[in-house]
Amino acid sequence: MRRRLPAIAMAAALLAAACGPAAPASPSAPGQSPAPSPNGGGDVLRVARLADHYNFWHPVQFQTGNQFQWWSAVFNTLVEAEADSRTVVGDLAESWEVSPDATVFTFKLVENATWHDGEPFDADDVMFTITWATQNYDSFLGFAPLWNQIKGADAVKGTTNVPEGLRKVDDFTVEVTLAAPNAEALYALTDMANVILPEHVLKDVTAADVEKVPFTLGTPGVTVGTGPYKLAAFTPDQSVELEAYADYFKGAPKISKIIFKLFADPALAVAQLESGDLDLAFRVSPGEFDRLSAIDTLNVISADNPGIIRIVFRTGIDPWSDKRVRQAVYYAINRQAIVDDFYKGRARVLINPPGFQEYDDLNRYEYNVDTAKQLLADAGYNGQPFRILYNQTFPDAQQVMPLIQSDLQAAGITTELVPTDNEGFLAQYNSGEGHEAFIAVGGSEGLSPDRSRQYFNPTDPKIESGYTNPRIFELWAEGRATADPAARDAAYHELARILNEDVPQANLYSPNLVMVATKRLGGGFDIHLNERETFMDVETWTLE
Amino acid sequence: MSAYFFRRVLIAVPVLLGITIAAFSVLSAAPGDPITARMDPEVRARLTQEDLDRRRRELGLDQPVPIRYVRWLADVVQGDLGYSIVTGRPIATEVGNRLGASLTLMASAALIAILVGLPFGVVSAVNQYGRIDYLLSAVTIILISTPTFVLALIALYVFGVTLKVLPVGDLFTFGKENDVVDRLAHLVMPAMILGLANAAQLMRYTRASMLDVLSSDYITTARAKGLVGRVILVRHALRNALIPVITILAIILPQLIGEAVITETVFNWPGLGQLSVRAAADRDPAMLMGVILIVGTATLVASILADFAYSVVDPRIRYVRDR
Repeated sequence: MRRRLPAIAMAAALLAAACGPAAPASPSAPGQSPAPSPNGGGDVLRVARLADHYNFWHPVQFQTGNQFQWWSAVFNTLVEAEADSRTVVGDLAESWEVSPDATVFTFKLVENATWHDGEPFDADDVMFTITWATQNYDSFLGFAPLWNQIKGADAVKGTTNVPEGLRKVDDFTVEVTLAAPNAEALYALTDMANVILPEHVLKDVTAADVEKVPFTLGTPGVTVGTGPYKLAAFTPDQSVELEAYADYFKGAPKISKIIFKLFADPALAVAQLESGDLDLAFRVSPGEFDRLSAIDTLNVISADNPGIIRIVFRTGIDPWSDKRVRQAVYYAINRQAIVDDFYKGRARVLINPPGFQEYDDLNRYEYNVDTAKQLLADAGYNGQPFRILYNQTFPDAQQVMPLIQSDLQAAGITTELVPTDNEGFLAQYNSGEGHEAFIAVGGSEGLSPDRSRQYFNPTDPKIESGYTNPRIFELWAEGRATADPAARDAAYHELARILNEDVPQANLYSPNLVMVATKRLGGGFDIHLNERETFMDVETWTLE
Repeated sequence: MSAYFFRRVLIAVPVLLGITIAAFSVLSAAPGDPITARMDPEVRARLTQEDLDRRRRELGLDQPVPIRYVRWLADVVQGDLGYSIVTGRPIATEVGNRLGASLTLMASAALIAILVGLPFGVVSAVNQYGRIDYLLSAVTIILISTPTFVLALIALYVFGVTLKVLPVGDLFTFGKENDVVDRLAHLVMPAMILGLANAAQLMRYTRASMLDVLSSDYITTARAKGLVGRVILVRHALRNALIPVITILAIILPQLIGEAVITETVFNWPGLGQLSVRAAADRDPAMLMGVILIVGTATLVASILADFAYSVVDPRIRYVRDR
């Protein structure tokens, strides 16, 4: 007994010994050599996108931009977008024809593509992907594919039939007929929700088991695509390792390995950029811009952001149903001051959702407390609480929301902030309770006026603002139905006027995104306007 | 002695059950629905009530909380912790994958805490109000009052980014997964941060406890008998001073698990702490229950170990008479 005095210390030591190399630090532990090629050889690209991710590899569970980036390296779509996020070029389709009314799309497929397990790709894979999606459309829990717009898609839901608007012309030609014209369809098809999936791997998968099959969980050798990189290892919440696919139909990629690292704390990613342990990072906090710019091995890019920060009013609740009260909120927030002082000019003030032109006849809602007070008085506002729900994990929310609150208070609006975490936000959003407005951060509205369509629902007032003016839906449909630029502009101009006048949501500003890349990265590397699309041409990148 | 331990372990079982019942009830009452929480609002609008009900049934969420708890418990007893809704994988696998990293970090930190905290506490007490005592006190107060994540970030920038003597976070360097030296190098900073923060606390307690004992009558008697200083210190003073220190150790061990949440997050150390943060943020109730089960067990084991240590240090402490 006497000699066993430090029992706990011994137990700890045993525990340490039991779990392998766990002895405490030895002072001789070697350090890292400095950049440019610190570890793992020079031909490995280490990437992080500092935003939420999902751990799934099937479009039924597609909800994050991180998945978008992984998938665009592993899979292909029929068509893809260039760096301007507008010009559509071929991917698995080498050419295509569109009927003048933007309804019938005929895709001629490449004949030399193969899946990562060696199986050849052909029209059957495209037919399978589209058919499965239309039959099991309710399985798609995130960004949904376009395939439900195909003629007859609704009729095959829950059946084993092929939709009427889908036809295999020959082994490398597929014809798709939409139920309604859509001039935006080609660009929409570049979205990773529409990746073409391997029929030989997934043909027996049902809606009931799709979320648990090895393909969906990200399993090397099973989760196969036709893309430039194949999945080599996937550890949920930690990392994705990709290996160059030498037989890629557009030519072998030049960088042999890509590792996507997932960080629990973005501060560590910034430290790794500085130490040379990370080569490329998306969505770095704007506050790091100046410090990282001082490092001469890094390119720091402040890029336009197609996304937006907006206050969405629950227009079903009085007095927020009165557009004058909503306009007053817009006037009362000093957006220019937030852009100048908080974002140091690296953001832009909005008067509508981005994507719309800023036509001369629109109201700019320049900061004016007097106008705001006048509008409130006209509308008979008498101090009803204005509770703004927001997700405090949104970038900058913790700093910006108090600024917005004090601006609104100054105009006489009784403003309360309701901060929540991610899931709490969604819970309250879904119930519609405990708030009169919420903050939304997103997205990709800047790519086209059509993109803002998703935030309005003609029938369900619980969706977003609950603004159901039927005219806006007609105008969006008109914009889609024609490929003629003048006709589209006319529709979107009227739409812009309505949204600007009625303010179902106050579109505040669009902060630039900060991307950081090592200067060794070159070749075809270019940050796309829609940054998540950046990996679409990854096979052309080089790393010196 | 063995009867005593048998009884201690038996008592631990209902305590663990109590912990899981409390956790399960709290998690069930938390806002956010695992079905709709991770669903795009547009999708939610598209689904009918039947769709939602079917999904709820599939996960057994249509049953009242007590029945769900009993089902969960029955599965756990059979070794099935269920599936994570966030990764789609079995929870036992997820937890198992991360247990090693967590244990490695916590065991190293505990060892550092003890190896640094105990001796320096004694040194501090013996040199009360001396220069060393003041220096050590200043250092410990800085360590105790600075939040762990601040210490961690400072260490990352000083030793990782600026001096480049240690790696900046992660469990290993990609491509060197099996390199023991590389793994050790990655362990140094998180283990030191977590270890030293606790060493400081332990040092303060050891110092206070030692001072208490050193001023007691039997030490004076020992001195009067003419025993040498070192014998008095080690055999008479330290042994008695350790009793309250063991209590602190038993508190520090589970506390380490809580602090590891922060350390693991800052250093991107893929352990249980990181897993539980993610599970909490994602409303992954089954995953959280899995983590709570492990942490609860660890806490109970620590307290049993402490009781064992008491009886070693001081044979007078036995709750049950040997018959």
